[in-house]
Amino acid sequence: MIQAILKKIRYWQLIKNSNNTDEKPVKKEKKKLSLSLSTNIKWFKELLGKSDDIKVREFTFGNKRVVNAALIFIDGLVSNEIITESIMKPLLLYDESLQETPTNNAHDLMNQIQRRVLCSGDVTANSYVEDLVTSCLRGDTVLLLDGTCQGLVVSSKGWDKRSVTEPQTESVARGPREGFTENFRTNTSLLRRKIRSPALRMDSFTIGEKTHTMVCVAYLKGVADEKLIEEIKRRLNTLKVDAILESGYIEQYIEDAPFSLFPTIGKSEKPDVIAGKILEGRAAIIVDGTPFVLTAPMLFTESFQTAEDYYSRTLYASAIRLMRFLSFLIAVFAPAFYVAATIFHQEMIPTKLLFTIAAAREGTPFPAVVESLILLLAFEVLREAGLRLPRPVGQAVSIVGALVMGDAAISAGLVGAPVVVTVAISAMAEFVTPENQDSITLLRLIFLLLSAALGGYGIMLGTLGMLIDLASLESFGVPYFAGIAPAHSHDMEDLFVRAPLWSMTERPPEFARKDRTRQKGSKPPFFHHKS
Amino acid sequence: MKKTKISSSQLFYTIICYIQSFSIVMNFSFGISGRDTWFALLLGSGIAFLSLRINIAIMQHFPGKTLVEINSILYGRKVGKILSLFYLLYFLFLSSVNLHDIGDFVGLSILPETPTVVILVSFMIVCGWAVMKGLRVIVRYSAAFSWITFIAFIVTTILVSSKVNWHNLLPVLTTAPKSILQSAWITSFIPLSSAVLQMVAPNVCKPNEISKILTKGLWTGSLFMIAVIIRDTAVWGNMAKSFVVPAYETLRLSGFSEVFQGMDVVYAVILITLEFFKIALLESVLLSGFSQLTNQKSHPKIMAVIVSVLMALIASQIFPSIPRHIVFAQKTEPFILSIFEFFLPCISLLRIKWTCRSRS
Amino acid sequence: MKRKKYIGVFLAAVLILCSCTGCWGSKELTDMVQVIGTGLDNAENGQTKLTVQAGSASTSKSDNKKKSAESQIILYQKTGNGIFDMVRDITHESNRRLFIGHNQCIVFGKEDAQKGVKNQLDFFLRDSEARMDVNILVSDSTAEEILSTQTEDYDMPAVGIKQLLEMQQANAESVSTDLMDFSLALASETTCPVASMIHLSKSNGKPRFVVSGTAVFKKDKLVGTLDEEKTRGYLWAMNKVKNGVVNIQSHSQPVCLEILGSRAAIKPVLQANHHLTVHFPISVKLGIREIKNQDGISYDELSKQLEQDVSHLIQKKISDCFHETQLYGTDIYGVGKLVEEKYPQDWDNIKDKWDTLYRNSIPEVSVEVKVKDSGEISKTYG
Repeated sequence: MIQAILKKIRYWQLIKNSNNTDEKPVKKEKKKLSLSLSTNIKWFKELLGKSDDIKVREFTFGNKRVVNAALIFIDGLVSNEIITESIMKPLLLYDESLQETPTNNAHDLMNQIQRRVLCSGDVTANSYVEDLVTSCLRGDTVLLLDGTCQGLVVSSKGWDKRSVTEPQTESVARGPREGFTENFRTNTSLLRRKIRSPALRMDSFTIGEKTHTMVCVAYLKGVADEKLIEEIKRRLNTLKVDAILESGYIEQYIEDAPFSLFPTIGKSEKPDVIAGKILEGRAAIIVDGTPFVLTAPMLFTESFQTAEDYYSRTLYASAIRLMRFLSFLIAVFAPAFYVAATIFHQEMIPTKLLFTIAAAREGTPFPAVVESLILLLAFEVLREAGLRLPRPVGQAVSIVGALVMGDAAISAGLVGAPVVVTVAISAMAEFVTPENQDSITLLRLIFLLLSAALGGYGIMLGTLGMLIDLASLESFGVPYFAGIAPAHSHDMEDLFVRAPLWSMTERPPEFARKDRTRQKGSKPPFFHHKS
Repeated sequence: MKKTKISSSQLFYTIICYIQSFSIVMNFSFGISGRDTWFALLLGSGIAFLSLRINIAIMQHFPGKTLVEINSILYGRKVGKILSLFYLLYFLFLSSVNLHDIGDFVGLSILPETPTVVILVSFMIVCGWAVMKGLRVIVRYSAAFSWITFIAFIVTTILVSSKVNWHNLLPVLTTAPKSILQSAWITSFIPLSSAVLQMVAPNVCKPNEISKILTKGLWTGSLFMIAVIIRDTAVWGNMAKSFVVPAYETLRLSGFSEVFQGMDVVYAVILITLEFFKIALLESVLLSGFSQLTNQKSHPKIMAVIVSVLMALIASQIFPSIPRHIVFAQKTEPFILSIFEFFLPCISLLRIKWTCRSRS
Repeated sequence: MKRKKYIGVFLAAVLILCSCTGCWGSKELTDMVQVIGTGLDNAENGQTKLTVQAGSASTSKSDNKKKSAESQIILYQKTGNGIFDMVRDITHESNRRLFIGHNQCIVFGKEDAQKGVKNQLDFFLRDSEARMDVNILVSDSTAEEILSTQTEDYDMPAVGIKQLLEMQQANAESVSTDLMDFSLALASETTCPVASMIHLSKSNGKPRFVVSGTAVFKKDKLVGTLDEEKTRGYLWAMNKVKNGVVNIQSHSQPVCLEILGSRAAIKPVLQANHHLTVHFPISVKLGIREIKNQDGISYDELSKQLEQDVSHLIQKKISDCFHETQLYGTDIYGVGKLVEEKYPQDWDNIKDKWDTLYRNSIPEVSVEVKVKDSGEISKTYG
């Protein structure tokens, strides 16, 4: 007990100290290359170790003056073709006599190689050992010359990457089927292809002490709020963490309310969705190594929007949007309503149905709450199992789950049919808005417990609590529940219904404060048909 | 003094929500004036409008300042602080009485066997948490709540229309004038209290619109209440006197086909939500008044917890039984309320005029 | 953060405890018995006998799925003074509590109704579970007989009675009163409540419920009954006839007409000498549905004749009913209330003498009949 308290005290002190040390960053001295090639190679080998894939290719070139050089790269990360064609070939065929400007020392030679010899697209100079090692680890090749303390970093990335396929978590009936991949450059290129405006900015960071993950913030300059971008960058800069393996790490580090049930940073796998959000004035955070791109800020209503809404026509899209809201309510409240109705407010149930439910309840030993909890747990187990099992076994799981859980449990008298139906409806409704899955699962449980304790009154208190939480949540300074609370008329065009595209002439003011006009003078289609 | 900014439409809907939430307690006036309660409410709105004008005049003299600050300026620091303390006690009294109403109502309608303390404590947990988040958050929902109530009213009136008998309202104005006046006196202050608004209103972004919004809000809310009372009278006639919550009984009747006949809980929940809004508003007003009294930027979070617990305790003990509560509300409460709503503002206004005159 | 975590844990523990132990107000469906019909009869020593019909699903594991709601009547009976007391008393014999939220009807035995029902209805008005749309019926004999009979038509007889009452609109010869109407009439100073009469009849040896006729109460005591003809007269005047059949003899041949719609009003006129004339203006729309042997008569002639005959018939029915109520001295039409609205100044003088005033008032019925159509064919063939 006392030790636990002491541990807590130490933990709080650690946090306080880390806050203090943030204010005085200690600058480390960076090590520069030496003039001797062999010393440099020795340093590289010390830093990188004796792994089999670290390649050091020493060679000599030049006919008038023979120069020692070395190429350092990591096998598997580089494209052999680039090394052969763009680096080795021009160097080995280098004829100094053909050059106009003679070079006196190795330093000038390095400059000439950088400017006039190497065929690769991206060549930068760098003198610091750590930076050169980092670029090696990124897949670039380092060129060292004897006699100069400057090295060249030649981009030569060429590793195996996944091709651009349809994203698995977001399939659409209509719309592009491209999805982001794990490769950073591919992701940025996909985004560039959607927004070809010069205003699209991508500001990059490297986060993660060990992983050195590339993270970039993409936004439209002039449309996105300057303060928002500053805030995002500030939060990213304060991250001094070991590793960033996925965008979820970034999300959990920079989000506004880590203990809230609702996510305040959106994510998507599809470039057109991200492009749409950037065009509204939001910022996207692309993380190397994951196809999930984050968007900030996020509103509650975004979890009910899909890309397809905007590609379908107004009436259908509005009806489906309304249905999604309804499914959310059903998913969260169905088991709670059932329990509240059968335990506290029996007068709500029509008489005939009441007798059916009573008959079902007669045969089961558990109280209604326990039954619902058991079935909810069973459903979660099924869902998790379905995710983790290898595909060949998946069929067996679905059959076992459906038959055993549902039918046999009812026949054996473990659970009653109405409860199974309720939980099944709730579960199915949950999948209509998959983005809400985490919040729905927890909310459903909380409301079930509340309704078991205090019936309809408990549900009401829980709803009020949830509403207050939603209304007070802010995502990067934007109220989370914007559209419903506070309610503005301009928000209504994309909230419960999806107004026709030609009528959505302004961007939402929460994000784009300066450049609000989306489209000027857009008329409804029937105006175009005047002959 | 940190001020939270609320927009004018939010203030408008706040007033309407506040007034609508009193549909639970219309029994006080029904018991006295029976069929002609709607007329009593009309008169009561007139009286409330009068007291509102007085309060608006005071507010316009000190733009952007809340009640507590105005008191300190008008009456000097010491007396002003004591007066503000009385006002705060008055808010505490108001909220405890309303909380007691909720406990009664819930115990009557949806949870008959639960001890009142449980109902009140669970209510105050959510309410206290909402107040800790701030007035801004609570007021954000005012528009949604009041629109839901409007729609519920329209829907239930349509569903009850087969049972409505307009002859129940006739003959008009046959009850004794004394009863009507007493009823008007009750309804003018219980639902339509302006002191609370005086605490909230200065937070609005556009101060010049305050008087227009307050008046519009008051009249819209009162008209809605009159409509509710007319409907209840039309359905129940003289029987409305004997019900504890006549509006709820009408809601219980509404429904079509057997499936939707038992929707009492849903309507009760809507009424309780309005009450939640009102109590959260009162409590946050109390706490902000307290913080202004003690010259702090904002109230410490622990105060919200203390005040919530205090309110729950008071509310559970304040009246021994419902009939006593009704008698208190009909006889004693209007006098207490009229002191704070009417007479004290009158005195403040006179003092303002006197200081103005003595200066010029 | 620490504080929040502990508060959160505490709240969660409270919630889980509450939900698992099943708190105060929770009633499991398996712990209750659904009351679907209540009956009140006279017992000796001025006590009341309560008969409660409850429907409860039986525990059937073997033959469920298709017939998951196999129910049977369960009867509980108690004799005592107060209904609430008796309801709780039943817990001596039953292992479950009675839940009256789904009570479909309250049946009064004839003798009990004659003694006065106001005190017994008080329980149903006060209880929070009871609903205002319960139907009130008076049995020809005893309530116990009605509630203990299992008819073949319905699984749960009390539910069947309620459905039967909803059907009465089609024949317009019975009333259907619910607790709300009954209490409103009781609360008024002059109006007298009515209720439907129900009795059992045997067909093929099996019993059936029959709803016919009206029970008339003065204040809260049963004073008389109206048969089907007179009930039709009452319904005409109260503007409650929407469907139904009018049988009439035209040229000494029977004709069947369907009522397509009717509109009626009651207008009392107070004469100078404090005599009351009650005007009943009624307009009715009919359609010819069955003619026997009326060949050779044109549609126009027939319809004119029918209009006259039906007008006389309706006049007679309304007057008959009114006179019968005058005999009992029961103002079931609500005339007193209308007089109060129309003559508020005079009302204070009149209301004490309302009984005699009503008995001496004169009805004046004016009927306007229109035969709108003659069905799918205009004349019979063959």
